[in-house]
Amino acid sequence: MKLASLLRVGGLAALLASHAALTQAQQAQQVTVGAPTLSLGVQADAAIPIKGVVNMDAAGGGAGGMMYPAPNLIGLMVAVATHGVLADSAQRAERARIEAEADKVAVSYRAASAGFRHQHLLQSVSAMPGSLASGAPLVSATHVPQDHPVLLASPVYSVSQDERGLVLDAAMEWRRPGQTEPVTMQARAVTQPLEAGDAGKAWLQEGGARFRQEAATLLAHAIDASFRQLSASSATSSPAEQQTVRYWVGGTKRIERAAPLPSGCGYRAYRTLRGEILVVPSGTTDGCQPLAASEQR
Amino acid sequence: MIKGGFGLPFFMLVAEACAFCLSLQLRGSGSVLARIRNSFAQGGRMKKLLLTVVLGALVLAGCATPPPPATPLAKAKLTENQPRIGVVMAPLPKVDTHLPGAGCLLCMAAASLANQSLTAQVQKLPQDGLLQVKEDIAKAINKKGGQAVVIAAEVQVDELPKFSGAGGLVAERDFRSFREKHKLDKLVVISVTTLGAERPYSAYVPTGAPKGVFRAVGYMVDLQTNAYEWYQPVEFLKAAEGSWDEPPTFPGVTNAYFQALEQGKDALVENFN
Repeated sequence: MKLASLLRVGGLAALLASHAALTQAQQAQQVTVGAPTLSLGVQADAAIPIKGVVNMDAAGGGAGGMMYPAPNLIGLMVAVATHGVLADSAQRAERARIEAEADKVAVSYRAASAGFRHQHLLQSVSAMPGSLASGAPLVSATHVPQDHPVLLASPVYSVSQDERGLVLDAAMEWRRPGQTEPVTMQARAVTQPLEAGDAGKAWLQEGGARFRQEAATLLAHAIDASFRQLSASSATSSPAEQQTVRYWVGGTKRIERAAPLPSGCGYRAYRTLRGEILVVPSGTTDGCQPLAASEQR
Repeated sequence: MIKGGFGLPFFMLVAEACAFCLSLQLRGSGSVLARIRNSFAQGGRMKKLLLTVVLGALVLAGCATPPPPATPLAKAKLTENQPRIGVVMAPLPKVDTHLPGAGCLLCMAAASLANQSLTAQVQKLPQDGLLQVKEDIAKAINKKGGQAVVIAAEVQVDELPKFSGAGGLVAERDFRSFREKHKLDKLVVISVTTLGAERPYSAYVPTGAPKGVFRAVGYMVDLQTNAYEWYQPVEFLKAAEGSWDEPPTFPGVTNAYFQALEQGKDALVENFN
């Protein structure tokens, strides 16, 4: 009786042990299946640059003649060279002045996001649902995981002069396991313009919460579009593929010649003539279905 | 390739200097300023030449016809008495690089040479649906309740006879032949004058980066009076974003061209919306 009882208890223990082992194996398998699509490389304590959107359409001097005071050939050469140096210097000064003037709009945004660092931005991106970067672990900038790529993104944000729009320009560097050379891309993403009115207040209220949220959304979209291009066969497009894309930066209509790329949830993506990725809001929820398993990996 | 337009070839400098010296007849010794001063003092050839040039310029400036002032389109003119409105375009210009300010012959040669790879790229660019503008204008007129007729053939405005009639704001050329030929009451003319890229120069030296350029003028003429009922010059100069000097395809300038082109097309059609 005792022996039978002992055998029964032993069998139960063995069953429990095997069940536990099975559960552990299943959990391990689940971890493997649910491995992150990508990791986000953090640049420790880096600030997020914020600028004003620059428009150089009015830059440049006027056309006109020039009488060179040239008593001889050498004098003429010196006069032309001096004219060239002066004109070049004037153009540089003008560009710097226009950029400085444009940056004035960004002052309050810089102040509002003074504590908003690269790490915080990436945390927001990782916490955002519906993106390929959702749940992506944050790793050090030099770490490359064994089974998935890591992205080093260097975002720069620009505020439109009417403060209704926000533009992200991000240099993307993808490091993939087993490959020594990173893949670099440049991406631009723009927001849906805010309603006219006190747009600046809308971005900056509650300590700039909306600004930070939108900054993270733009980066998430840019990461999505960029990741999809990682395995794309070509970084350029043929003229036949190119079309005229119209979008808004704040209240200003922008036009870009670009070829369409696969779009995602809430955005349309294009490849510009420079080979850069352009992400503009689609204004619809097309593409917001759950991502396919092939895209998750 | 000479980038930035400032690398002037040496031979051009030599040629320019020779031309300069020859024109002033300064093959002998002595300074230019002294010669000019002497010429003036002696009432010489230089003074006469300068006077002729100044007087000639004044006469030519006086004869030039100023362009009509911009006249907005009164939308009622499109539907009042149900006029038949023809829409026609002048021949499109070649897509090209324009270098205003590079005035002298050698300046032009130097500027062209400095921008030759940009020009090669710009000349490949399409006019991209520009002829569609007249269709779009006709659609907009019809949408307003007017009767628009697209005229497929181009109109050579300069070959039309000059209009001799007087009146207020009348067209310089006589468009009234369209009245009988196409059974029209009014004619909308779209004339694109500049397409491509433009870089300002001051003699040999560029004073700015190349920009995409679109210039056009749109007008509507009453075919009974030959008077303008709408006159709208359109100009868009769009800068390349970031660096422009990216041979061989110059994507920044190319994109700026398309920006200018699209904005120009929109601006012309918007008058009728």
